[in-house]
Amino acid sequence: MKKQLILVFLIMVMSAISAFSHVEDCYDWEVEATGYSEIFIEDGMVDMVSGLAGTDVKGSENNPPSYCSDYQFGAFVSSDMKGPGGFTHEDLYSFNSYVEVEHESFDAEPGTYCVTSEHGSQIGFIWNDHSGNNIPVTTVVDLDSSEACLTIEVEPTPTPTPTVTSTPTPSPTPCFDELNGKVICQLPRVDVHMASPILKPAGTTGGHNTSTVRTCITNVQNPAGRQVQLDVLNDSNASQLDGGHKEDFHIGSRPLGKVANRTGTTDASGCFQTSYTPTHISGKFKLRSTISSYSGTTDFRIRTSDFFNLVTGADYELFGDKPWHPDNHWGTLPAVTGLRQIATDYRNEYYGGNPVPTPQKIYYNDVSLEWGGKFDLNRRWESTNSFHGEHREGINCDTRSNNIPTARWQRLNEIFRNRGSTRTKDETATGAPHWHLRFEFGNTRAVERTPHMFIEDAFDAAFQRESTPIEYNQWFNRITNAKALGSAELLLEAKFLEREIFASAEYSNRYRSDVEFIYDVFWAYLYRDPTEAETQSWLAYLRSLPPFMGEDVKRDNLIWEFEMSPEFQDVLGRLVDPSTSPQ
Amino acid sequence: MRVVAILFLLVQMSCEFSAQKPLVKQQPAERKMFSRSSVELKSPKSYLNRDGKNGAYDPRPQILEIDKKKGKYEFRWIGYDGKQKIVEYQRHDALDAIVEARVERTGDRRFVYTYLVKNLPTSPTYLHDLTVQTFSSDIKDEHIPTRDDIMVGHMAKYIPQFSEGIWRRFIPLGEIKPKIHPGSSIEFKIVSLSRPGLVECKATAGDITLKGVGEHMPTELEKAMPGFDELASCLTIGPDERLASLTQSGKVKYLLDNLSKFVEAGWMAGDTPRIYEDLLRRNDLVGAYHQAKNDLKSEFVTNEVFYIIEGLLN
Repeated sequence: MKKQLILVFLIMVMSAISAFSHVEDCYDWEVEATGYSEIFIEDGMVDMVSGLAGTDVKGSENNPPSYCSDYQFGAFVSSDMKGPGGFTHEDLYSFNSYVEVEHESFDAEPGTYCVTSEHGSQIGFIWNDHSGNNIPVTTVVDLDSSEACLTIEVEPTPTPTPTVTSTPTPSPTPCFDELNGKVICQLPRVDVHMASPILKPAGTTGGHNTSTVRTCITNVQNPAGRQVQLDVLNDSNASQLDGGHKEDFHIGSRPLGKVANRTGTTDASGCFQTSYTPTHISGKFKLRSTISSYSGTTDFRIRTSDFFNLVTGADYELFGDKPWHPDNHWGTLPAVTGLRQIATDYRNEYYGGNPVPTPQKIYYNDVSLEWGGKFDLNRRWESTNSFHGEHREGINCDTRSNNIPTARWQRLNEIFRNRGSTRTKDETATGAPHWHLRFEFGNTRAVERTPHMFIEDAFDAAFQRESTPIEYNQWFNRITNAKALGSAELLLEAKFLEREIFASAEYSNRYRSDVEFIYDVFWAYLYRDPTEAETQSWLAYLRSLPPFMGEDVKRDNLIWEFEMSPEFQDVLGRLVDPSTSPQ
Repeated sequence: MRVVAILFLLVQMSCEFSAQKPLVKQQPAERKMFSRSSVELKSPKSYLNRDGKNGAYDPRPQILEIDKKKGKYEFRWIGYDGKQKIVEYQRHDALDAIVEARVERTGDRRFVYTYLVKNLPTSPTYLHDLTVQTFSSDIKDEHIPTRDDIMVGHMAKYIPQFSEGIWRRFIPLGEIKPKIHPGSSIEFKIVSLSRPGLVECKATAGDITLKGVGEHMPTELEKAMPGFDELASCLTIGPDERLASLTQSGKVKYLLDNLSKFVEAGWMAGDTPRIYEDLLRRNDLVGAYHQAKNDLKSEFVTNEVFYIIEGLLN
């Protein structure tokens, strides 16, 4: 909360700042404050450094890709703090106490710059680009002291070194564009890549249950032999429903999975490779790689494939939802369809066209969580095989039995089977009387997708996000209308969708490598991983295209090949009518 | 001249007749039993520990084959209370049974299909149900409220094993009717406007539910259970409206294509298929019909072959 308030304050402050010095180089920097201080670094390695009165504290960020020749920096001081006895922490929560803001610009030559405040206040260092746009605040010094200092050091100027491997190619930094007479700065950069950014939770089958992780540092003089550290971060929002879990209602921390080797050193090409094994719990995560104090992250998700939500129906009742698992009826398309049909068949068997009295309806308890994985019944992220060991893959449903007259049990069980439940487990004689339904058909499970899934999978593959309502409505209408017209029209619209996505600035701003691009295309078009052979084959394809083609044109060619592939057309051919699906 | 012509015809008929007779004396056609699946049940190779009251423990999930012939297994694991849990498992294909189909025509041009399922004395367990594939628009995937001692349902089309056509399922209700134990039999009927064609059928042996023990089995054990690919399977005849639109050559091709399946089902004896192949290669559907009529009497073909050919002719 405190940090958020400070950020809001800084945004107010930054709008008032206009005079900044222009910087022409790349810097490492460090902030130091004395006295009772707290240093926040929002986007770097250190989240907060605190010190008690009389203690010096120090925070640094050495991987600021933005802070180079194209950026300026400045500092501000909020002064004349009101309040009895000067600055108190309570003042932070009352913006009205900030009656005046002063700022100061620096000559950004390497050196140490100190800002002094007489009353003890807040000092911040901020950065902006040439256009005057503020970039995210990276450090705030919250002081009950009189001084905070910023030390700037220039990265040692490297000399060009022979390239050891082809990817990625380190380049000298800084470099001088003689033609334009400008310094073009190639910033040190850390990339981290997961071969499979969507992983199945542990304990489920199919898909990837482990991924290769590769991280590389580029644009540094000596890429080899650098220290590497890999950290998995929870990227789920505590108050939102990520993967089906509301984190703030859970006890303990969401498990993060395991990196086989969290530390190591880079090889001659500046890269380090290991593997990651997901946890049993679904969710959003980040993998951060730190190499010689530079860092980069990549997003990944732990989830099963698409589930459908069993929504309320006239012939059945849903129950079992909890604040920590508010939506507990997600399942595969056959399971969800089957559950609806079971209730309808039951009504037809015993009530004809009449409604079923509520007490005697079919009552469905837990199916699975939205992204599958362990259904941690006790909301402790409990691992392993504890209660609800199943319910991970959207194929199970607990159906209450003690409200159904026993004379109907046999027929109801036959209805379960007609609609797809094999080997229903009869738990009617136990303390929690129910039938454990199981929509497991065997080795040849049907793969059906709806236009909804097709669109969201494309967005997810290319942008790692869901579509916005505007995007969704536009494409849903286009795809469903085209589907109604015929396969040729559907193919055309599907091509438009995919092309627009991959040609977008949003995608190009993700700076995906060729391998990542191939992975993205496979998921967007074919909804599957490429095999290693396929990856290599498509890489060879890209490299085989003539050099005069730009990278974009080469990728366009690859996309064209996918559009023409029988597999893509087969994927489209298997799109089911949206009216037959719950979504 | 007329005498010569008659003599020529007699010689020709004699030649044809001899071609239609089996070269050696052969056994009558004998329907094959339902075939068992190739699904194997194996203990999970890897599995997760469980969280018990006293921390993580090894649930030791395993599948034990108790009686191979009867298809009986036990699914075992250590429960949360530290005691061994056992769920008995009966393979659904553990059945020695045959199905015989016959077809009658009603006054309103409907076909009445009757399936006689014999659960042979050697069968390990009782017959739970029979499911027959159909291809007729007058048979829909709708629940039919139960009116007698046989419940009729339809398998959902999204189940891959039942995705082609509509599969009608017959279940003798144990609550009313004695179970179809080894040595007993039962009849099921389908009425349709569509003529008979070759279709698949499946049967289930034993109970369809597993008796729970108060806690769910480890997920790895559950995953080791087969799905609908474990059922006993067979061939029979059922309504197929697609046959009505076949041309003469299409009908001949249909029969030629399926001769091997007739043999597979045990519907044709010895070298009988060769006779039909000869006739059909000459596009002689009528000849094949007469051949089937005779062969049915001499039991060289079964009802199923005759009804399919008769249906194609009309």
